[in-house]
Amino acid sequence: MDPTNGDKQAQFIRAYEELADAIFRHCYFRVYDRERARDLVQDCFTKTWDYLCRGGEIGNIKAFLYRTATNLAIDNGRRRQTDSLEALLEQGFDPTGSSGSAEKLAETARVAAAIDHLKPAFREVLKYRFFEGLGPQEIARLVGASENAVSVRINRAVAALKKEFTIDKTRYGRAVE
Amino acid sequence: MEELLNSIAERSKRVGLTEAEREVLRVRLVEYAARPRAAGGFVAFWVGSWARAAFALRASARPVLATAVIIAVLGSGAGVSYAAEGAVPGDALYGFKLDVNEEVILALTVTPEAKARWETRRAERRLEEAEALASSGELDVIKAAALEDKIRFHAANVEKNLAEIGKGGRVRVAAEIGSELEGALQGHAAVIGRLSERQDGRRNAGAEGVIGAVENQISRTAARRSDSERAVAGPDNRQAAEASLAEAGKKLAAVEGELDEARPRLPTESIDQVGVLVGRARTAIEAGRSSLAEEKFNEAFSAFQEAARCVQQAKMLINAEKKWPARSPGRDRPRTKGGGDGAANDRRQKNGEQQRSAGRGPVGFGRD
Repeated sequence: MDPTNGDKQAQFIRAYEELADAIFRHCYFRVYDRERARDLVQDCFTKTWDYLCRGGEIGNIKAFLYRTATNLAIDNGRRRQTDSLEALLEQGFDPTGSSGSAEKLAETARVAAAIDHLKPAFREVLKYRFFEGLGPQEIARLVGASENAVSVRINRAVAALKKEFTIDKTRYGRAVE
Repeated sequence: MEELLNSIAERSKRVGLTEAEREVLRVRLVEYAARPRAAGGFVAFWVGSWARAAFALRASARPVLATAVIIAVLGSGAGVSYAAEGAVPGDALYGFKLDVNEEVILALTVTPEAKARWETRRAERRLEEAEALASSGELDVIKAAALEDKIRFHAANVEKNLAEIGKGGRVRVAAEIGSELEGALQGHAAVIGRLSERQDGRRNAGAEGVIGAVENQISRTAARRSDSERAVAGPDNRQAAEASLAEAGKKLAAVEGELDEARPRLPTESIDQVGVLVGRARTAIEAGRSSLAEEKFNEAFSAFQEAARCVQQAKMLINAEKKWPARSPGRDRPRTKGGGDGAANDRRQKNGEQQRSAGRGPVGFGRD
């Protein structure tokens, strides 16, 4: 993508239009705050544009944006206190921004908190699969693994999530009942 | 549980920016992209020209033309080519390093084995760049994402060529190159972790991103390497195992010597880390010897390859400490925006970096 070319600028804007929601979801389920997620989306796209303007080459814009967003979210998490389940619920966990049913929101928050207690490799695939709605093939492309390996990892991650709930029922309440 | 996760997946589809948020961000992005920027100038144009020439050279696949272009590059661009070798992402000559220096070498490689070895080396070069950036606190998220992209690309090229080598019946060579790549990835990930932790006692997001990508690649490479090792069969498998033992033994002795020599200068943590790797290499060699005695040649071969990887990682850690010795706490501060520590400036001078383009950064691109 040559950033000096007006058509390429238009291409980049089209990439934003196509991927903004996906990148927002990706950020939201890492920082659990709509405003912070929106800022990360902005940072992600502007930094990527800066990179292109400096002559950087990008093979797959979608994968690049996801990786940048992941790194930005990690960086953001570093500077702020990691959210606990209690904090999430108290602060009004509301991914859609439309105040859905309190019960459903609490349920999603419990699952999100439990997923965050799993090891990074499991956390990554579960969030891609169930919070971001990506299929194994797409996840495989983003994490650099084979589709088969991703499917196996998702199954193991779901088993680990079940175990996490079993170990700490008091923490996650009725989520698995 | 599956039912619960599926219902969450269904609800999560509705998570996204509101119409208003999307439009506000879109307008900002359009303004940002349209902002005039200082052009890369002559250097960017010149690098771009060589990059296009190198691409054409690779696409042409005509040895005579390739040789002519290479001679031209060597003749007229040798100084720049040399200066570009030290460039890292963000430097003006980085594009030259990737698109000219490395592509010219790729054009000169003919066999799948040579290509696999060069792509392994290219993945290592990206990791060395990540190390250089981590050592000066400059491994930011965007440079990390760019490096992750390229590491995956080179590793995929290695795998493609290893598959070719395997098809040609040279499974042992494929296993050895796969093992080298795996060892290099493991060693560099450890070095990047150590260097980035030095900045403020913990890894930064860029380093974590690169390490995460490398770890994913390691599991993929390990699976392929393991398949190749199992396939090392036939009448020469004793020979393969014995050659692998000789190689691992030689490398272990060499790294033990390097450790003894470097010990007075190494921090305790590094000595311990290298010591653990050397210990693992010795154990693997012993296990391999037992398998060899029992004529379990494939097991022996795998064990000696594991020993070689441990030695490779130990060597990398020693070299990293030599290259980027730990500084005194007063100097070991993260680099601040617009400033720079001595190491970063030294690296820049060494790289022959040109003045960076002006007008970068999210100036005037305010938040709500």
